[in-house]
Amino acid sequence: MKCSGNFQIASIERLSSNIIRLEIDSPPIAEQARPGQFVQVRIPGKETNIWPRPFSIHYAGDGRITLYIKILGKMTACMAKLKNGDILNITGPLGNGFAEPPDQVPLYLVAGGIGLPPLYFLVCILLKKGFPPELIHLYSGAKSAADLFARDEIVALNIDYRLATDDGSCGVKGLIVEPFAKDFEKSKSGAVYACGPMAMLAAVAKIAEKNFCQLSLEQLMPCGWGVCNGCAVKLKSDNSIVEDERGFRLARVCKEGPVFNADDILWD
Amino acid sequence: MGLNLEINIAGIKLKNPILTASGCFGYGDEASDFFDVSRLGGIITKSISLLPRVGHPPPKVAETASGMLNAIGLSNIGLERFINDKMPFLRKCGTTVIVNIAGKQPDDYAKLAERISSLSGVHAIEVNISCPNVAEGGLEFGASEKGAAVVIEKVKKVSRVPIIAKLSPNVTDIVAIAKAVENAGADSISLINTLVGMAIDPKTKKFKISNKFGGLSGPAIKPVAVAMVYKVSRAVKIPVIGLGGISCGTDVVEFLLAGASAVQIGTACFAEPKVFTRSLDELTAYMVANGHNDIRELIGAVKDI
Repeated sequence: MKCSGNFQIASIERLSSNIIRLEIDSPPIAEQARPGQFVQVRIPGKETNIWPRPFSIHYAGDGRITLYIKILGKMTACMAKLKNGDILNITGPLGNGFAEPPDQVPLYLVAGGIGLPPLYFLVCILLKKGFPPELIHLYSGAKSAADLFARDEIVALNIDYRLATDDGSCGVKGLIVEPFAKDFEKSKSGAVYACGPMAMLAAVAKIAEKNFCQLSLEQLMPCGWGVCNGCAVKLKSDNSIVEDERGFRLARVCKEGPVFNADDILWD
Repeated sequence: MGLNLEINIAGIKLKNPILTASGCFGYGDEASDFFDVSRLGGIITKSISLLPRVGHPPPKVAETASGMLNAIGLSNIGLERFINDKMPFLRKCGTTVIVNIAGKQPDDYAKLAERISSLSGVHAIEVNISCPNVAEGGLEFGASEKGAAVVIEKVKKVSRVPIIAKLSPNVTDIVAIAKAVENAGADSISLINTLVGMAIDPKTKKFKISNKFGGLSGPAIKPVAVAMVYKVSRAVKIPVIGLGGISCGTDVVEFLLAGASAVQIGTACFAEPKVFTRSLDELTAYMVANGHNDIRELIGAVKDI
């Protein structure tokens, strides 16, 4: 059974001008959560924005889920003002998570900005299952140092960890796709996972080519549980589900996704 | 003594007056992840067309003040897959099942009604002559008395179950359309579908949805819906089902007082899958607090100031 109800904030922390970190006591959600899944969050009593906002789960354990939230609009600005003990309305866990890598091959995980959480969660779970840390390469990029987060948590995992910022304020200067491309060129094989802006995902998919590559997409999402069809994206036609002469089919990011095989996505 | 929440609409018995609005509840199966759907007064499916439809390309939705715009474009899996994949769940969902249909031609509606009304487990058909987002069909019929009557007459002739005509607010005189569908044989009327709207992003100077126009729903349209329910329910003899911006038990009461015999909840369930059962609990609490034993005492019971 999926869960929809009110839960208490166990800790809220403002990490920079842009990013907050939230831990929420929500045992029924934490127990079920898998990497790549998300929750829909709203603030009870602030219903002028009628949609909740979707956030990927960064970690789940000990009855809590951890979320990182980028302050982008009115709703996230309100969330930044919340305090320990305040209540959030949460629905989840929603969507399908990542598939595990086909083998013990090198893993390349590429995170753009606030796309890091589902990839971090995936690494944690794989390490717990005994996946060798020396095979894991995590690339985390953002506009600027203020948009990077969870650095201590990642360092503690003892994996290969690279950073890039558009302005060079942390890590290498430039897009995070560049160091990933360079490394992947060398090995030419491995499993690739990515989450971030569409342009970054398209670039990652191109570099990964025929290799195992899973992407987590972000979309405007009125419901998050499959009933409104508002978050649908175009996939390549496969003659299996609803399609027409336009040569594409639609899949709901919330229900069939948010994780898709890169091969299935129809890039505009 | 128990409260009576049961209501008869056009010969079908609803265990309570709270239904799911078409297009906002899929085919009913997603919600059973969250709550016992047999508590609903009934399930109304998303619009079914003869053939599958992809609908409009993304983006299909935009959030607006106290509401949202959508132009989904009636995307659905089509009649055959609906019967094979979705009816088995609906047959055993434990509540009334109403299938919404949409066509491009009046004959499409008739074909859909004939087939769907013969299925076991379908209690009524809701006819969508009010979708504002498609070029053919939809509002093309619902915007005129004649167009609406033609579709309803054809459907009524072949249907073995009661017919609910779903009306659009995007007309000059909704009472005239309501009378036309009543005369054409509709057993009930549901209103309102969404209001035509538009949103533009000043940053990009682009439309916020690909179809340019979308249907406005949510709390923003509730006063329009209440006014139209009031007007129509006084002008026709068949029962009226009210919808538009309902998100709690007191909203349900407001529609009943205005003259609705039942209601549908749509947009509010996006943020809160369990809004139906919460609203039902709130409706029951309202009845207890105000000394009402029977839901029918509330219908059309609004008083002058």
